[in-house]
Amino acid sequence: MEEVDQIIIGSLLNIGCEFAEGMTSLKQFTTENVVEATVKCLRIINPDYKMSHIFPPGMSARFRVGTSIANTCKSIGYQGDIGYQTFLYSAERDVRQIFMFLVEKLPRKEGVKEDTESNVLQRRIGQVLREKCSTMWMPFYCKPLIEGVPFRTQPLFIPKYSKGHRNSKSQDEKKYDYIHRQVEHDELTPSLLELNCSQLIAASPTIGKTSKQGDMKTTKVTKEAFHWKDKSMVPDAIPFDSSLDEVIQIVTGQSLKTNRSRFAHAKDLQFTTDKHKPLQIRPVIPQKPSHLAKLENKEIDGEHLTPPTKDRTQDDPTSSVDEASSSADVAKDQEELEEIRFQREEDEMNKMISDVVEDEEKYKEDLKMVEMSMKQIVVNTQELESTNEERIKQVKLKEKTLKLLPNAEENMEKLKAMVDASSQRLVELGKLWEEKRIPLVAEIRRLKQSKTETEFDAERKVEEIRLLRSRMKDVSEETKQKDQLIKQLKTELDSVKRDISRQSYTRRILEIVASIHKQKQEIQRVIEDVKLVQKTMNKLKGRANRTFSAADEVIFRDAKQDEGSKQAYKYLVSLHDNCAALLKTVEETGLIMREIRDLEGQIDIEIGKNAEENLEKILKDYKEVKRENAEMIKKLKKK
Amino acid sequence: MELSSLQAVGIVEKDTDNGLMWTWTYPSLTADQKEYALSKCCLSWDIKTEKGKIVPFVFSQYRKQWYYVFTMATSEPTALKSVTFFSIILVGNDFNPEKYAVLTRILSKYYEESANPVRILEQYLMVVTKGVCQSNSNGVFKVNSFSSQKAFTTASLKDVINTFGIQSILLYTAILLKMKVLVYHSKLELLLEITRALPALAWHRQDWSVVYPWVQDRQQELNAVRKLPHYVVGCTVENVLTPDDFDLYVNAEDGTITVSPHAKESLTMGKLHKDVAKKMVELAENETVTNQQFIAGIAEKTTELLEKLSSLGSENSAGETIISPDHIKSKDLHPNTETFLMNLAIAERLLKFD
Repeated sequence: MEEVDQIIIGSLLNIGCEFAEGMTSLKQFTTENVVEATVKCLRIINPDYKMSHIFPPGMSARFRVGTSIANTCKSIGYQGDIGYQTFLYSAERDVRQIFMFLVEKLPRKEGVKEDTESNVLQRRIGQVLREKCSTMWMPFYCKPLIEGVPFRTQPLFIPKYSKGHRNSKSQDEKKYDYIHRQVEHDELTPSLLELNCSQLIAASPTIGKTSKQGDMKTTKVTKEAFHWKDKSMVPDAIPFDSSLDEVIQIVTGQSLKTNRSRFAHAKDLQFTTDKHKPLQIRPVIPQKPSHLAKLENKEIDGEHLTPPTKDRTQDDPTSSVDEASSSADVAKDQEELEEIRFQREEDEMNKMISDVVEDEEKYKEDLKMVEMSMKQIVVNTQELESTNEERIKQVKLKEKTLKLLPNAEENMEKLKAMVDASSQRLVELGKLWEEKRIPLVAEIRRLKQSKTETEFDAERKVEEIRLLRSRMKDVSEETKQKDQLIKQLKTELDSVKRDISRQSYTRRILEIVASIHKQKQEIQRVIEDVKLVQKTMNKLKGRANRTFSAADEVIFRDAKQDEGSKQAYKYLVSLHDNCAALLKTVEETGLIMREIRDLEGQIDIEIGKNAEENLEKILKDYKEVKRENAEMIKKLKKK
Repeated sequence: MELSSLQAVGIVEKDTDNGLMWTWTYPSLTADQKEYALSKCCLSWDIKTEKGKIVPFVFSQYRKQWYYVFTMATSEPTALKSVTFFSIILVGNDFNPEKYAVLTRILSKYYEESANPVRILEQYLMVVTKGVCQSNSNGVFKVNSFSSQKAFTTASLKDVINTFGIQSILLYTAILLKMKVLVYHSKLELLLEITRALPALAWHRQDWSVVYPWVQDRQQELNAVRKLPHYVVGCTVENVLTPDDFDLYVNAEDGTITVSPHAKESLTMGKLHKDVAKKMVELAENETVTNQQFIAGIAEKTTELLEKLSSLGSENSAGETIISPDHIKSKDLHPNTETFLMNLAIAERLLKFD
């Protein structure tokens, strides 16, 4: 009983009945407590049930509350006898039963976390989040480097900007796109590096020979030029706070005034619009044979100061050459002289070219002839070779026949015999070889077959191994997962509050079950005993009756004649009757004993009901109700 | 001498496990020759591909020797246990497919019945020594009854010319001028027929060693072919030779002939060509003309040409006709004709330089 009370008190605590703390049994519950607890339970069970859990002081109100509670309990499904009296004049047993019923009806807490999918998902989310929180965060571009980009370059064309405004684009600018569109993304950086290097070398004064006027270089690019050990290439330490201008100045060294690198040039154009460009720079041309180079130099010089002729239709960035600088005016006389010289030399060149072309044709023809003669020779050699071979064979044959010619007939016979003999021998040898060969061939075939079979077996085994391995992997993964699960569940289990534990309940239940089992066995035994006793009783009764009847018969027969037997007979009858009476009294005592026991039990119950107390209470209450009624009537009457 | 034209005989077997084996040879073959012969034997091809079909009889040339391969499947009952197919390979010096076809058939019958190569050896020796051998079906095989002339004219040149029409003048020129010709056809039997007919265009030379009827894409063969100054090569797969290796590409399936750029000069057509071309096409279309007559007709035209050529030259001390380039140039002919005549003279070994 105590455990039951504990359980009930525990659940009542859970639902919020603070009065129940510290109580150990239901006896300690007052009526108010009982009502409060019931109402709370009912509210939880049936949220619609609106009743305050405070027991009203007025008698009639109490009466009403009691009946309503009772009705609700009945409506829920309580099958016992219930009425307002159980609440107002509570008997411990009834109260216990009611509470047991209500507590059972309380919606269960979900103690068991089922392994639904949503739970698994939530667990997984929690795990991942925990992991992420443990590692440091890095922005996406700090991720470990991708593999390096291969160094592939493509020629880049940076157009010369027209002097002055950005708006008026030169022909170049229209032609060439932005550099990042000229090449692919991966190749942009290497190409830029290459371009820069080449321009730097071109611009550096220590590498190339500069011409007199210092605007055109026939650069003799040597291997040393690419050695950065050359000090002039390495700029002096550039201070960090220098502006872009200063940096460019330092890097290009003294080349600012006369040999401007194209970058400086371009940069100036971009950022300043007012500077005069003294001289334009032409792109680097690889070295030409000396006489042509000299010529070209002169041409270029001349061209700088005259509009571009039709011969030179290169992508000339010097479209603005007309706006020449002041130095052009000074050299105009020189130009004319040079023009004449230039014409003369041009004529010479043309003549030379035509001569060369003629020679070329002549050589071509000769080449053709030589080719043909080669063909002829090849054909000849081939034919000669084959005829040669044939003739050698024939000569040999004829030699041999000549030797044999004297005794022609004989030798022919001999030859024929020899031929036959050798063919015979060959056939014999062939037979011998055949004997050896056949088993060997069979052996080869057999071995091949066995080899394929073993291969097949091996393949199968390899397959099996692979299967096993994969299964092993699966199983190990499963075990890992299960281990993880175990860990998680253990932590959760620990964190779960331990109430009035289920263990004690289960233990108790098991004990009760065991005891009941034992009791059942006892009862069975007792029943059997009782049955046995009853049987013996019946047997004996029967025996007695039979003996009596048998004795009766015997003696009755004799009793007619003998006095003694008559007496005996009378004694027998009386004996029988007395015994019967004894038996009956014993039975009655037994019955009465049973009734006594029952009555004792009922007495106990009645005592438990506190009937007297309750009656007194009821009387009091009845009086109260009457009084209240009277008061209310009075009030009404007053109104 | 015809008797000594047979060089070797070999047997290749394919057994039930799809294993290929070279089972027997007489007298002997080098590894090189064996490799070549195996590649030509269709048993060594993958059965799963299309080429796995058995082509009963093939022939081809390698290093001045002719290989003739005859393949057949063993039919029950046979003394050959666990053998599904076998090939008999004959190596000879002369070109005579018919002769060798018959011979290989005879030998294969013997082999199938007896499963004993010694029988083959006997027959082989008889052919080598006497020139005759017994056929299984009560016949006698006589070497002499197969003349090379017949072999040369067996393949129908007329059909070839009909396939290409007027373009066959290119073929004629190329063969006459000893150039490199590549013939392509996807079917092996047709390829063999076509290629063996082509040297008949230069009948006056009677030289069938220029034709390599079937060349596969293998290093061994291609190395040997590339060393030659001129050839007629047949292949069943495209792109066996690079365009530098041939002057004329003949696609027998489509009936097209393509000239390589570097040979365009030598193959330009002139009046002479038109003449010959007309005659060729005429004869070819004429149904009553037999193959022999057709070949004869073309040979006529060729001799005309050669006569004309030699008339340009002069006799030298040895009584031979010699032509020198000046002679040809002095005739002041059309440059195309000039080139053609010069090339022809070279091919016929009539040209002499100073």
